[in-house]
Amino acid sequence: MSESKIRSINCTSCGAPLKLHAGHKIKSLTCEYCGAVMNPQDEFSVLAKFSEQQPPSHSPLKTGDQGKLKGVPFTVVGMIEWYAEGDSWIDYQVFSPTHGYAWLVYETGHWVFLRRTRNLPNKSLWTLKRRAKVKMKQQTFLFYEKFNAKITYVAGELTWIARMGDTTSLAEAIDPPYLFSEERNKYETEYYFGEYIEATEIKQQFNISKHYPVAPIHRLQRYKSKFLQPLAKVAKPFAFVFFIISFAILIFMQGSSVMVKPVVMKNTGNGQVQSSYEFSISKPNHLILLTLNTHNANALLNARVKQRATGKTIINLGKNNAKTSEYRIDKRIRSVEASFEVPKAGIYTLSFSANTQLPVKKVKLVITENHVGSRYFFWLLLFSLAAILISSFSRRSFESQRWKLVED
Amino acid sequence: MYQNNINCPQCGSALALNFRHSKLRACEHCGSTIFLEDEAVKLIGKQSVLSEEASLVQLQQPFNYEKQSYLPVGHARYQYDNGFWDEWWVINNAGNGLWVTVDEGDFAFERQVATPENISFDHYQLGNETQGWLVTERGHAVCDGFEGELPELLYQGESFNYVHLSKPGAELFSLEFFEKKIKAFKGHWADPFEIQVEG
Repeated sequence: MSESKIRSINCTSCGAPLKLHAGHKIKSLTCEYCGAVMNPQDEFSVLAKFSEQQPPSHSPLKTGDQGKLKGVPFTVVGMIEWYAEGDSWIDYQVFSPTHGYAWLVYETGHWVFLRRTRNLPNKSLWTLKRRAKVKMKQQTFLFYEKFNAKITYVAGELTWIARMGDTTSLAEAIDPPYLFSEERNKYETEYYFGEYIEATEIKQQFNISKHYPVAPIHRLQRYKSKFLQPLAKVAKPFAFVFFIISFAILIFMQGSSVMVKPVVMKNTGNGQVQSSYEFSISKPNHLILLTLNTHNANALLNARVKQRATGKTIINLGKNNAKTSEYRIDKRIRSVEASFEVPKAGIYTLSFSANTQLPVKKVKLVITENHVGSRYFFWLLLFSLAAILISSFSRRSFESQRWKLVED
Repeated sequence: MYQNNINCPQCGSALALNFRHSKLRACEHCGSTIFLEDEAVKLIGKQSVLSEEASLVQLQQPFNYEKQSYLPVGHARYQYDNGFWDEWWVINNAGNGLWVTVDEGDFAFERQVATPENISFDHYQLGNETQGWLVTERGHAVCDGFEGELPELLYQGESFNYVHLSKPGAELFSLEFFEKKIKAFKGHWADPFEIQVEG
């Protein structure tokens, strides 16, 4: 691979020195000084002259600039400025001796690398409604828009004879970051395949140091979020794993029931009711889940588990020390739940009290041993799903903005 | 892949052959043109060296296209009105040869096919359509030279008229009208960005 060979001529109209960077397929050379359009295939005879044309004020590139596009060295050999429906953009004709001719399109600070394709769509773009599907080779595009564009400036070497004031009709379908477009003028219809290139890459490749304003969104831009996308990507496998673990725990690791019975409360006469139960644990050092189901969990005060043989307190549960134990009062499901371990197998005593100021009825005690808690996995699953949903919402919002560019 | 060697009858250099049915071999050492017929090799002239031009395809440098590997073993160049185009004789994995035509980034893969009967160059005018094929290019070309090994006899300076016909779906049909014969080729256009040179 090599760079294009440079030749020089003098404009046959004004005599200005012009450099030629492209090859033999060039059909027109427009002098940037006097606007003369010359025919390189006929000794640079002047085809037309447009001395009133003004170069675009916002062109980041000029003829002769060089840079790599998709890893291939290209030289800017010509340019056309277009105008349509209040917008203007620049098509730079680029040339590579090994890969031929292509276009680098600059619009609102964004860049699209466009190449002619001889593959035709499975249906005409001109008859399609917005977002209608169209196929080119194996790729599916969505119809985006059609419009007429007018040339407002031409310079350098081009593969067709472009003149100021010429018009072209364009129909575009997108599959971001790819574009499929059909261009019709009075001579021919051509198809183009385009690809969005990041502005930072073009700036780096073509050594563009000046800053140009960039529109917040381009129709071919891929949705990109520095935080949400990686988060969602990481969250997806984790959500799957957490779901499987939570499901497995819920189904297979709920342990064996030690006690399930309705609680009878005895009045102690000091404004409290209390109750006491003994239960047997056969697997020490495994998690025990203790649940008191009631319609008014707030009325329950303290609960205590003691080893019967030694009288040693294993765990103190209650409102007052809720923060220090695996203890929670869930008002919604109206239960008090605690998980703990005991050091030895044997008989244990659970005693608890409740406030008689608040009615406590229908208290049910459930004790399960060899229990595995799934709560944390469940929360992690929820967090992972939330990350996926937020990212999905953000992507939908971006897509909506992409289509709003033409739908408003 | 087929591999054989011959010795240049002019300078004695060993020359590799990569295609069983090669008819022509240019000696890269002395510029001789060697005609291969059965087991015999015959000196038929001298070659001028082709000027070096930038090209994605290079002799003996394999490339991949659509999951198939190709080895360019021969190269011919033709001058026409606007400039020149290159034709590369390439051998695929299966040992079959085909032509890759390259004209300033326009790539086409073609195979020789049976020539249609009762045709003439004048019949094909630009923009005309014949059986779904649109005449997209016609002109006159002259063989500028060749290198490597080729499946047919070419003569430097030999000229012919050509017609390119296109069909939707990147299909291509080419006709070459020589003084005493007509050659036909069928194939498709290719995107150079889909051609991956190995190494």
